[in-house]
Amino acid sequence: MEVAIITFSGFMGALVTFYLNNQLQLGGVMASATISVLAGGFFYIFPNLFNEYFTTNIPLVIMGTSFIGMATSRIIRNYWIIGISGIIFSILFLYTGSFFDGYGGGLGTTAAISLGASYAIENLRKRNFQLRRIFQK
Amino acid sequence: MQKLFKKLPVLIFAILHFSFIAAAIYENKASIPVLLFLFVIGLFLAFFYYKNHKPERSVFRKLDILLVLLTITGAVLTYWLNFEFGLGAVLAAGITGLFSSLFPFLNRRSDLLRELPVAMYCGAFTGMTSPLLAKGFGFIFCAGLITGLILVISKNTLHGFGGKLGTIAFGGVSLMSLILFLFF
Repeated sequence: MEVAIITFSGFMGALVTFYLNNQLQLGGVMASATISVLAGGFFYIFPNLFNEYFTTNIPLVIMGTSFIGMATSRIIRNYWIIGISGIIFSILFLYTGSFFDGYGGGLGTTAAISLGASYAIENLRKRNFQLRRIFQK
Repeated sequence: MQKLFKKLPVLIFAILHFSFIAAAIYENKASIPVLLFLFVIGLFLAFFYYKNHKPERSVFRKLDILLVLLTITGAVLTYWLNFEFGLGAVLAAGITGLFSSLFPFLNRRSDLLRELPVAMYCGAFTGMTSPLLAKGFGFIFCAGLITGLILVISKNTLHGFGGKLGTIAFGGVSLMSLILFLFF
């Protein structure tokens, strides 16, 4: 259950930021900062609404995935890449250990790794599609 | 030399990303499914760098000094908000980012004002460093300075990709920690 909620938060954090950034034209910084203030502010005002695990980790996951949503639609053209990146981020967040705990930028690095991996999946998918078309001819 | 300087930003990003994955693999060596997941992500990332890295040299301007100064300001401000008011790293960085994103509204035609929020938000990620690791404003100031320098040399690298600013901040904090570890 905990994994599902963290993953869903990550998925939504990335998609909503990408929407605010590219559809509403807020720009990457304003979109990500708005999402971070909302997530951080909510759990700062209501620290006892959920258990300690969620109160600590949900704002971090939402902020981390908001960095994925800072990508521009000129480069990332499909929403599904952003969604998949949000999910990969959440899994990495849950299972990367405590080696770099407390290091500023750790969330952003995880976001970049997640987006890079999803972008590679998209590249491979496109290449596979092109190969299939060549063989069908 | 020029060729190396052109490739330096991509090299920095690749080293940071793969060391992050290597550390995660080392810490999860007991869990086979997690190891497998991390290996697959590492392979995809390698493919990403192979296909998409285009080394581009940044053109430096005098105004880049302002970007470095704003990165330091973002780092110190975020750390101060977190440390003094106990806001938490997420809220502190969010407030710094939201504040900086208002700069372009002062003059919508200014290209410079449009660049400032990026530098300050990048610094904010450096300022998210835990007080247990940073142990004071001196660390954050120096890490912010290194972050600002990496930001300036990597202006044209991975442009438009999410997570770039966080990786730069991670580079600044890691390098500062390494310097402290080796020389002090």
